[in-house]
Amino acid sequence: MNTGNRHDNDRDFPEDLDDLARQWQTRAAEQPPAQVDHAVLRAARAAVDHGATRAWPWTHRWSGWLATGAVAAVAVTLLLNLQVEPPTPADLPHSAAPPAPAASPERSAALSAVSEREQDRQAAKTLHASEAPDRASVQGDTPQSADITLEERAETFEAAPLSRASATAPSPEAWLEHIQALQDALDPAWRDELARFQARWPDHPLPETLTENSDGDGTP
Amino acid sequence: MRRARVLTGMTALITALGPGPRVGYAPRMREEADEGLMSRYAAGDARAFEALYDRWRGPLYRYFLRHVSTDGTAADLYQGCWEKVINARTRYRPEIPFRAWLFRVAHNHLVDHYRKGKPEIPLDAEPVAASDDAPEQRMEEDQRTRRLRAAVAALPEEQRDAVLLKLEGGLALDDIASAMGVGRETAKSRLRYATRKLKEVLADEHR
Repeated sequence: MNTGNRHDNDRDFPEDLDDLARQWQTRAAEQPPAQVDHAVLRAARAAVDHGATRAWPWTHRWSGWLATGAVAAVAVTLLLNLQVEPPTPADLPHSAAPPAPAASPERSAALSAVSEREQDRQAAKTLHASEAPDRASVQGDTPQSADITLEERAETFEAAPLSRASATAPSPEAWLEHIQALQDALDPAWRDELARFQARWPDHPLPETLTENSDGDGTP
Repeated sequence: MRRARVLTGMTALITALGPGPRVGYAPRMREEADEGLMSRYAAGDARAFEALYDRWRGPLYRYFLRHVSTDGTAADLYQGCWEKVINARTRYRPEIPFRAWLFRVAHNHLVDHYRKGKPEIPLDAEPVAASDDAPEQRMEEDQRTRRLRAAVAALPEEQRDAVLLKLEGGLALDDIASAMGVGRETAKSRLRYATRKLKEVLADEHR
């Protein structure tokens, strides 16, 4: 809108219009009614008063963005905390640990495979430990070493049924050798151990020495 | 609690019965430009609006009064126009002359009024305000002013609007064109035709 050249505009008006304008304005005295004045001014004040009450401080204007940012930060923090690094075999517990709650099915399968391998390794170690003292005792080691062997074997075979799944239990032959050793050492626990063996392996044939003495008081 | 409620009620009562509009108030703002006053009102200064209103209440009211047939209709249009100005205060840009903006709002408000109903015949025999001149001279001026008003009222609507934007609003040619939503030459042509008719009517009645 070009309003700067008002004099040029005035020259553009018809010449007689200025005379008419002067005559027109000499008698221009009509005014709006007083009640209309009141109404307009009241509306004008109410408009700015209403606007002033609605004008929030800058903190309120930014509160929405701040709240959104805070929620996003909390969500990211939670997600990062829920992410579990892949466990190494050393981190796995010996007993059957419950799987991580947020682990995916593939991740659970991988974890169980690692756990099974670890349990197999432990079982092999146990068998090796149980066989070695037998060999030593057969080869005529000292009685002290035989006692230590028996204690170790007892710990191993007592712990094994509790801490292992059936897949990692000692083999029947090793278990029978353990029972036989208990019997040879005059340990009365051999009967309980035999009962546990028969409960676990009901169809497995028993050596004659265990069969003959199982009905007695345990003495050879 | 009860005391606070009483105080709140008293405050509301005082506000409702308050001093009310003070037309002609704010002499301090008398010299400030219309554009500055409107900007201040848009920022929340109600007193700036009072000064602005005091300046433009007469011309704007007469603009409507010359367009319609009754005082009541003119007052309704006038009040509605100011309400539009109030509601549009935050959209006002100070680089636009306030008078041009005000009369553009008024013109659009009048067009809306015409669209809603049948155009009314403008008043052409309104009593003229008294003056201190001699009775004979005053009578002659009154008669001449009435004839002029009647001639303006008899103009085609578009020409009448262009003339009143000039006579009451004091708008420049470009502002008249902008307010009416037409080109500059169109506005100039309407003013030329209107002026010629007015002069003819006044000259005929003189003979």
